[in-house]
Amino acid sequence: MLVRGSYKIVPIEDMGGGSFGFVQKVELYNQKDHLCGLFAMKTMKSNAREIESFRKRFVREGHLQAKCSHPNIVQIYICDLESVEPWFVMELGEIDVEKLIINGKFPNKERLKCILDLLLGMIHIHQQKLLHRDIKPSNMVKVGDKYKIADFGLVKDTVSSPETTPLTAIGQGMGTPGFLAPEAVFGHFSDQSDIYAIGTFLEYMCYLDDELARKLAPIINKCRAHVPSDRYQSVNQILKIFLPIYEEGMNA
Amino acid sequence: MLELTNVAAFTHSKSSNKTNEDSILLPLKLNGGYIFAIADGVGSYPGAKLASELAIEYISKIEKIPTESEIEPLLLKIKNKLSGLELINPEFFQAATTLTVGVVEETGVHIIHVGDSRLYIKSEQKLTCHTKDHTQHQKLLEAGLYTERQLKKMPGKNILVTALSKSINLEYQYSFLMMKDIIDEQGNLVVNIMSDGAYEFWEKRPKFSLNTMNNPTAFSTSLLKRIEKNGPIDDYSLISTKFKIGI
Repeated sequence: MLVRGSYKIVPIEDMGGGSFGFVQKVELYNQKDHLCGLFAMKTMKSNAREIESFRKRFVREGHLQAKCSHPNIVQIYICDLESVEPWFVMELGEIDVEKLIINGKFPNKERLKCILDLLLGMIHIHQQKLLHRDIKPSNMVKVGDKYKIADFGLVKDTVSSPETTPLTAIGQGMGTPGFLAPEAVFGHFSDQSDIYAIGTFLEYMCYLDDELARKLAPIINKCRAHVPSDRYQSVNQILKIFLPIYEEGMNA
Repeated sequence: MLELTNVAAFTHSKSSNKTNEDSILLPLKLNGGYIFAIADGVGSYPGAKLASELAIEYISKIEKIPTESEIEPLLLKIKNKLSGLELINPEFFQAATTLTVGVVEETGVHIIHVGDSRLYIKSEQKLTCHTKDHTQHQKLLEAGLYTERQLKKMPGKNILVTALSKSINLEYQYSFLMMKDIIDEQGNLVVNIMSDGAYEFWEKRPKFSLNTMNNPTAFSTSLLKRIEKNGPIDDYSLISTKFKIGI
């Protein structure tokens, strides 16, 4: 059992993780030993903690995810990002969307709901002047009757501080092949590179659903246009086109 | 016959309380030719100064002018040396530097280039840039993803897509320019290498009098004055060289 602030945390299962952190399924107890529920806890890996830039990136992930309070974004509940061993506790997803697609038990109406939740979550992220940079089905989880965007490991704040002079840096393509926009390969990210990833996400959602594929094809093609200016200029524009498809599908 | 007739250079930090992360190699004799270079440590990552120093030190010790097939192994050796910086300090695992090398010999000029410093050769009354910036903007332009007009409004002008660094894929430019195509009527050749902190100011108004352009000492003094008058925006370095090529 770990004591973190005024909570007791009992890890019950390893859930994997990335380069900087590992994720565990945990039981969270308050001071009176009342079980508050099951959550996911992300802790910074010990070897990554020694590198200042990795530590900054982990702290940024926690801060920016916490800043995004929205029904379609995995919520951070408690955290300690300044400690020697930074961590945060967040909502636990029941299953990720990639698994739902692969195991074939993903009805058409659920797919439509998932797409709507993705678009609403992404509109909120972009409103916060953030870029997710790693939108894909495995980074979207089901929590109760909602689908939520998870994993802010590659999130970028597009508002630069006026006091900082831009230093020369090396732009590197980060993200997942197939979801990575052509310009993102050179390290350039924008709302349009997230929109490109949304296009690939929608394409995955059409797996084994020809009717949905037919309806979404024009949206997917525009999201995934080679030149950024040929894509939708905002996620709101996608939502506007998608809503009639959603309503028709839900009323069928 | 190749004769080095004039050299002028400067290398300065952006401000007096910061380390100058540029390193320069003044012309050194190499197999009857001359080698000179500028390395610009990539400022976003710790170890930038050490990285640029290490690249210049390595270049200063090569014993012969590399053939085209020897350039990639040479740059990979520098990259491997840079990975050793991590042993000094784990924070240096991303240490990176650009490197632009000019080698002048009787038959022509070899250019070895990684990053965004620039090598210019005087051609009539202009300086012609013979290196291509390995920057994000240049790549986006070449890929047809953005127009020059769109890029002007976009941030990221100083984002490189390659550099000498342990963790970055190496991409480099090698060019060879025949001497007959680049010398002037009097048999002179003027070659300048500038780091980005210097050419930013040159490119804003790429002109000095013909006498100044023909004279490395005057060129160096005039460019230095221009940078310091306007206020440096980055570390700034120049190596200006003039050669006489006899028949």
